[in-house]
Amino acid sequence: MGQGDNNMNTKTLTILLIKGPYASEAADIALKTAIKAKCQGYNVNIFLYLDGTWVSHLTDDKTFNNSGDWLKRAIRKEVNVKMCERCSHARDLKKEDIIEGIEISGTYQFVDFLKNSDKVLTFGG
Amino acid sequence: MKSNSVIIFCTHGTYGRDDDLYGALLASNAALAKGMKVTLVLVEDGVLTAKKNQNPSKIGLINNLDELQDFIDLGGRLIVEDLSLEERGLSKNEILEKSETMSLRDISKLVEEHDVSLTF
Repeated sequence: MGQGDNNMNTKTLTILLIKGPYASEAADIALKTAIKAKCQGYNVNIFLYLDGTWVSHLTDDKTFNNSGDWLKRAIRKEVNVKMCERCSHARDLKKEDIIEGIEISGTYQFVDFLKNSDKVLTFGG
Repeated sequence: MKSNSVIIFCTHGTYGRDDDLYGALLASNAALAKGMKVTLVLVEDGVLTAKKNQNPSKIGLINNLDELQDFIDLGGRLIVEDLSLEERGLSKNEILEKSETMSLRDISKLVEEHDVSLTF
């Protein structure tokens, strides 16, 4: 199953992440859940919203746990990742500052995720 | 289309953590504009969102009542949990007229009427 696979038989999970890395485990758990769901055959979307957009900024390697690595791994597994344009702008997060493969998009794209999902999980609420 | 309705829980108060609430309201209004049925449930400190006559201009923040009014005008349903309201010393006449107060028991039944839920 590839990115944006809309096979009607494939269940779709959307994950809304609203908390940034290190402040809590929300980002790590969200990303690990996304990867596990993808491995189990779900079509998976992640929407980075509010402080959740900060995870996109973890581009460098680290010697300790790194939510950015989990995000890169999710993208390699063809999890569809988008982040809120307004939230990104508020935090000065630009395309050149973030992990490759994330689309900066509007809130309407999140609503499209909702409409096409069988399950939605919020992390960080 | 798999989901046509969403129930959104707001658990944090206004202004101190304004991003959470503002984000919830933006997502709610976007979902309404795209034709979804949206119910916004204010619980815990979230009930402060519905308080009439808020004025955060002195701290330089946008008044959340503007977004909340848009939500109501767009056809959203606004629920305020009654016990959270009472615990914060607020009465029904201090919150927006177009909101409904409801017990957690009844709110839990409402969840069943929606396809997906979000929590802010």
